[in-house]
Amino acid sequence: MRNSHLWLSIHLAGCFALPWLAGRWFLEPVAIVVILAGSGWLLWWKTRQEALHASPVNLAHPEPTPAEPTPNGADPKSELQDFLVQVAPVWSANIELARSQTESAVTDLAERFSRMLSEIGQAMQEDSGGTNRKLLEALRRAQTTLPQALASLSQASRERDVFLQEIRTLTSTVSELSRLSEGVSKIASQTTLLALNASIEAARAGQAGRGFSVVANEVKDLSKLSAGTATEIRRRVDSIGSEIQRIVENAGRITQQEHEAMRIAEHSVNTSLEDLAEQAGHLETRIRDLSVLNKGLETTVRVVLVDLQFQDRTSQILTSIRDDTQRLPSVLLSGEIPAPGPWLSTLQGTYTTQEQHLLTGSPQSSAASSGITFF
Amino acid sequence: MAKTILIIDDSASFRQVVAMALKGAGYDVVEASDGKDALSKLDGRKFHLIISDVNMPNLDGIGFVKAAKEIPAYKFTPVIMLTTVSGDDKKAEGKAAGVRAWVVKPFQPPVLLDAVSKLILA
Repeated sequence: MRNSHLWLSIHLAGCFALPWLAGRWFLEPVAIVVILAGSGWLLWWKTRQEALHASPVNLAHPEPTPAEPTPNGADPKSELQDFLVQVAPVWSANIELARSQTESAVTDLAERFSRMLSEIGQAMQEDSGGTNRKLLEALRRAQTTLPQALASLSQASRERDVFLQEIRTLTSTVSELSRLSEGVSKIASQTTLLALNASIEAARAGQAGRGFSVVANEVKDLSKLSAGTATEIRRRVDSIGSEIQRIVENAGRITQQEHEAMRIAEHSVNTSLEDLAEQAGHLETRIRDLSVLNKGLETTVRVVLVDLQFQDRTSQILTSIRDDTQRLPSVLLSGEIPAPGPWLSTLQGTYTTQEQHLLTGSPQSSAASSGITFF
Repeated sequence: MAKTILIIDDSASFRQVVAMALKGAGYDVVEASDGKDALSKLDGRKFHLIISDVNMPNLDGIGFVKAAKEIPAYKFTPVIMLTTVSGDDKKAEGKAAGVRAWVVKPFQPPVLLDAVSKLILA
C-alpha cells in the first residue's frame, strides 16, 4: 500500500513537473488525462485491497465464476453440488469418528492416570505412616528400650551384689556370736569352779556356813544351766553360720553365672542393635527415596492430566467443523451456492477457543487463557 | 465433612481432569454431562459449589445457571464457569445470570482450587 502511494506521488509529480520544466504548456491536457487515469487506477486498486483486507479468506475461497458447460454438456456447478452433497456427509462422519475415538481414548487415559495418581497417593501414605514407617519406628524404639532393659537387669544384679555383701557381713556377726557363746561357756565353767570352792569353804565353816552352802549349790546349778545354754547357743549359731555360708556360696555362684549371662546378653543385644541401626538407616533412606520418587511421579501425572485438557478443545474444534460440514448438503440441495463470506461468518460464530479466533486474526479476548475473572 | 461440588461438562475426559484436581484437594464430586443432566441432579442435595462448561448439548451452561437460580435451594450456590469461551460479551451474559467467576480452559489446578476455596468460604 505504501509502495503504491509512493509510486502514485512520483507519477503525479512527474505529470505536472515535466511539462512545466520544459516550458511546454501545450502538454498540460495530456498531463491531466494521465492524472485522471492514474487516479482511477488508484481508486480501483484501493477498493480491491480493502475488500481483500476485510475478508482475507476470500483469496483462498474466491467467488465462483459463472459455470461454463463441460465438453460433455453437463453443468459443472451442478456436478460440484452433487459431489459435495454426497461427500460432505462422509467428511462429517469421519470428523465425528476421529472426535469420538479421541474422546474415548483420552477419557480412558485420564481415568488410568487418575487411578495411578490415587495409587501413588496411597503408596505415599503407606510410606509415610504405613508398614515401613511403623517398622522403622519399632526399630528405633528397640534401640531405646533394649538398652534400658539391660540397664535395669544390671541395676538388679548390682543390688543383689550389695545384698550378698550384707549376708557375708552377717556371717562374720554369726562368728562373733559363736565366740561370745564360748565366752559364756568359760564363765559358766569358772562359776562352777567358784561354786565348788564356796561349798568346800561352807563345809569347813560348819553350822555357820550351812546357808552359804545352799547358795553355793544354787550357783553351781545356775552355772551348769548357763554352760548348757551356751553350748546350745553355740550349736545353733554354728548351724546358722553353716547355713548362711552355704547360701552365700550358692548366691555367689549364681551371681557369677548371672554376670556371665549379662555379659553375653549385652554383647548380643548391642550387636543386634548395631544391625538394626544399620537396617533402619537403609530403610529410612529407601523410604525417603521412594517419597521423592513418588512426589516426582505424582507431579508428572498431574501435569499429564492437565495436558489431557487438549482433548476438550480439539473436540470443540472438530465439532464446529463437523456441524459446518453437515449443514452444507442441505444448502446445496436447495439449489443455492452459498457465498463464502456469510458462510465463513456463520462458521466463525461457532468458534469457542482462543486459537480458533486467532485463525481469523481477531482474538476473542485480551485476557490470559489461564486467567480467572471474579464477578 | 468434605464439601461437595457439582461438575458439568459434556467432555467425560475433562470432567475426570477437574474431578481429579478437586478430589486431590479433599472435595467430593458429582458429575453431570450437560445442563439438563445437571438440573436433574439438583434434587435437594447440598452442593457447596457448581463448576460448569458453557457450550454443551441439550442445555448450555448459561441456561443452566439461569434455571438453577430459579430453584430456592440453589439460588445462592456459587457457580464458576470453566470454558474455552473468553469473549467479554459471553462473560457479561454469565455475570448477569449469576455466575461468580469465569475460568478459561485450559486451567491450572492451583488457579481453579484458589477460586473454589475463595467462593466456598465467601
